[in-house]
Amino acid sequence: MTDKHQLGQIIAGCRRGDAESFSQLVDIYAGRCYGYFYRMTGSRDISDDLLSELFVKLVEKIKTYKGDGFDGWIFKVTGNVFYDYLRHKYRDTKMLEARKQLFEEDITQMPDDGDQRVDNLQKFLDRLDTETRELIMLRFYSGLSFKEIAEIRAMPTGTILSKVHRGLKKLRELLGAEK
Amino acid sequence: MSDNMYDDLKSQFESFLDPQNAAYAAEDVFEGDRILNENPAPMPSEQLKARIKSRVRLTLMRTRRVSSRRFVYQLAAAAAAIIIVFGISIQMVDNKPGHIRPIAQISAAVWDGTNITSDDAELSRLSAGIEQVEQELSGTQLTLNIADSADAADELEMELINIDSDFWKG
Repeated sequence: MTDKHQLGQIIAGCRRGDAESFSQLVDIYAGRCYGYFYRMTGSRDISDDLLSELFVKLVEKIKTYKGDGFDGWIFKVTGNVFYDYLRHKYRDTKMLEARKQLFEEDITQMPDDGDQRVDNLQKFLDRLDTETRELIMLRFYSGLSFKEIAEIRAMPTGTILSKVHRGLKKLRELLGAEK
Repeated sequence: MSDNMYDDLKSQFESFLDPQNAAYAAEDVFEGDRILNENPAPMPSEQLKARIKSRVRLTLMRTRRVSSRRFVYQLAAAAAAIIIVFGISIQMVDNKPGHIRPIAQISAAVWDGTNITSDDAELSRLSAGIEQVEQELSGTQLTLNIADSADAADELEMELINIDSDFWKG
């Protein structure tokens, strides 16, 4: 676990363009950001690409970081990378339909080869709408409070609370119904 | 997920719901978090992390190259701007209304002195010279006219003599 002071030094190094500091940043955030991407896309390959894209974007954007909560900032960029991916992928309706079909096939036919094991959670998460799923994952992987999420998403705190609550309740019900 | 976290969730919901509903909502979220914790997403492989680190290094190198190239371009642009401004300002100084420029090379050659007294003497000498040339010219013209009249009188006299002799001859 990296303390605040250490993280501050790493961020300062990144702002100076120090490659070693960026390597440390990868070690600290890769797991959580990868989890977010994986839960949003359900694909390891896409998550690999998005995580790589994220850190390249951080190199370009690090100078825009104002010095407030770094987790909030990095997960804001992470969310933008995911939404850019969505926009790029689902540019027209035809592609959307094809993708949906392919996505459903991917989920149901995911090979159980140890590293890439099928998990029911992913299947049920896909039944939630993208925005709700994104808010749940953002909160879970960033560790941000509802208030902080409301700030970075420019939404009222009550709306965030309500969406996350309803989403998690539905997830519980889906998992309960399966058992 | 600790009890502290549950209490924190409950207090956040209490801002929007009554205590009983806030407790239910907090429990739902607490349980949801437990499910997510029990089903962890896969972690990125070490190869992926190594690939990302080397890609970041390359991006940093490219960014540095681009910044230094941009600096050189900016420097060149600034130098060009200074040269242009310098050239324009020199031209403006040359075209200033108070600035006297020689009208022609000939006058500059004839009138190259700066001493007014000697220039005046030169000028009066030149004027005297011009007057003398004018007088000589008009004298020559007068002499020419007198000579012409004498010739004409001689011719007239000769004509009259001829007429007179022809008259007496019949």
